[in-house]
Amino acid sequence: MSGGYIMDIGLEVHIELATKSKIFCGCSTRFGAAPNTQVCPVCLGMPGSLPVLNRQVVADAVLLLSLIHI
Amino acid sequence: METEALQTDMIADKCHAFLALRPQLPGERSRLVAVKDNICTVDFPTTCASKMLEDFRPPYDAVAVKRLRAAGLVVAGKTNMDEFAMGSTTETSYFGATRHPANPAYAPGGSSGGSAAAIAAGYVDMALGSDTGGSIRLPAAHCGVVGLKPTYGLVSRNGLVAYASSMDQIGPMGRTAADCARLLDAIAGPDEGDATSLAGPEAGRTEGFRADSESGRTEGVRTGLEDSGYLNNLYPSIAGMKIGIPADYLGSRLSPDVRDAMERVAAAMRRMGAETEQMTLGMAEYVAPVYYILACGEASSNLQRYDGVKYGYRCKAEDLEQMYRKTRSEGFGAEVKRRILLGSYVLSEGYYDAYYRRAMQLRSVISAAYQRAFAHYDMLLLPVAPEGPPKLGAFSHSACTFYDNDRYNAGANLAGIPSIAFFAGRTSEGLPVGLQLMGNHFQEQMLLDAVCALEDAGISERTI
Repeated sequence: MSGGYIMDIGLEVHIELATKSKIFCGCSTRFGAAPNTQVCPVCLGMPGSLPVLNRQVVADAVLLLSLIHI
Repeated sequence: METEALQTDMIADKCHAFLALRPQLPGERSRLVAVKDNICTVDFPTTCASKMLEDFRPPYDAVAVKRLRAAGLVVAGKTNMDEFAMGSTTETSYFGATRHPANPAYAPGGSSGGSAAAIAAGYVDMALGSDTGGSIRLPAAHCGVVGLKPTYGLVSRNGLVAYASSMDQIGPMGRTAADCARLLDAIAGPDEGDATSLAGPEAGRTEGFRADSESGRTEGVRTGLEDSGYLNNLYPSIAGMKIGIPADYLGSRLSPDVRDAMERVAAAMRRMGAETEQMTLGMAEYVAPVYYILACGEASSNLQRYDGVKYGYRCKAEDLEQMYRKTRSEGFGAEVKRRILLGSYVLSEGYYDAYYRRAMQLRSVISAAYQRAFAHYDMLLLPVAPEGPPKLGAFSHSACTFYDNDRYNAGANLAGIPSIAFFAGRTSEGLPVGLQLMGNHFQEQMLLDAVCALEDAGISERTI
């Protein structure tokens, strides 16, 4: 029935994490604020600014990996 | 007030060390610090000596600036530099070169040339510079002042406009080792806002993460390193130290003046109770190529942000793409463009493996060479440049010769180890010649002690 074909399915999944703050800075991720109010030098990429990784993002990624058994 | 006459001289600024100057200086000269113009300050523009950031006023101080202010020091002004820290003579500055304070036909070195010149000209005793491939040590040596590139991670890069993020460090420059120690005390230590900052193997380090809360920006609050005490612990002795002199960094490239300085300093160190020994460091011919491939790759990424959208220079354009292209074509100087092009090339598909990945692997080999050396030696003594200060315009036609001179300095940035440049003699024209001492990670106290010992022994002196 398969006609000699082998199925190979990849799932590209994009997950928007429900963190309270952004991935690289402490700006809020709350929906609905006025534009350009939940920003800071880091997420604006201003000269000299440095990202600091959100711990929860790492925790969520580790959780996902453990669930899908990589 | 001791700074009144000084203010007049600084305003005249004959050697063009400054791009911006504080209108009213405080009374005490000892509180003044000149700050390289790629370090963010709220009270002065931060231009990186580029048309791209000519009118940029950061809404924040760099953490190093915050800390020096908290220590009671005052930013006297912002100093000239090579554009975006790319260069070794301060000639690529959009605002014109800084001239060597001792002889205006010569360059002060770069990229922290303005900071070095401000000290050598007598305006300030302390300055902040930045070093990615030698940019503190080279102008320090050429101007005859002390300049320390700290261990990677000792000083927060928060607020330093990024060139090559895995190599950049802010560092102290001073008339003497004690001046550098004093400034390092003020600025060193981990910062939660810089995930690459750390105090040392035993002392506290930042976790590298931040908690998930809407707390606003992570601030540059001082953590760990309460009183680093570099100045208090300054002990000017090198008795019993073992100093390695890498023969593969000597040879016929060196001018007689530099060779002579090496011999005199080594002899002085022996008289002071240290042991000196020629050795082979290895990898000398790979340092400059690896540095340029990696630094330019990182720079091409770090400079992507300059597009005229949110801050900085914006050209007149008909559409978005034209705005991006023209803003960058008009806003960047030739050397910056050269390095962005080189960086983009070595990171591109088809070339990444041959260049960037290969260079990353060689970086580990270079670091390992330094670690092997430090298993046997406390410090390494080597030149900072093959010759004394170059004439202005000397390198305008030979980028590769120019780049190859970074072999003496860039290895420390690749390995993340500290290195200090100091006055060691003069050329036949009377211009300063400097050398450098490299140590293993977090050995800043040892390096400062060594230069202090040399100063006490009479090797170092004020140059102008």
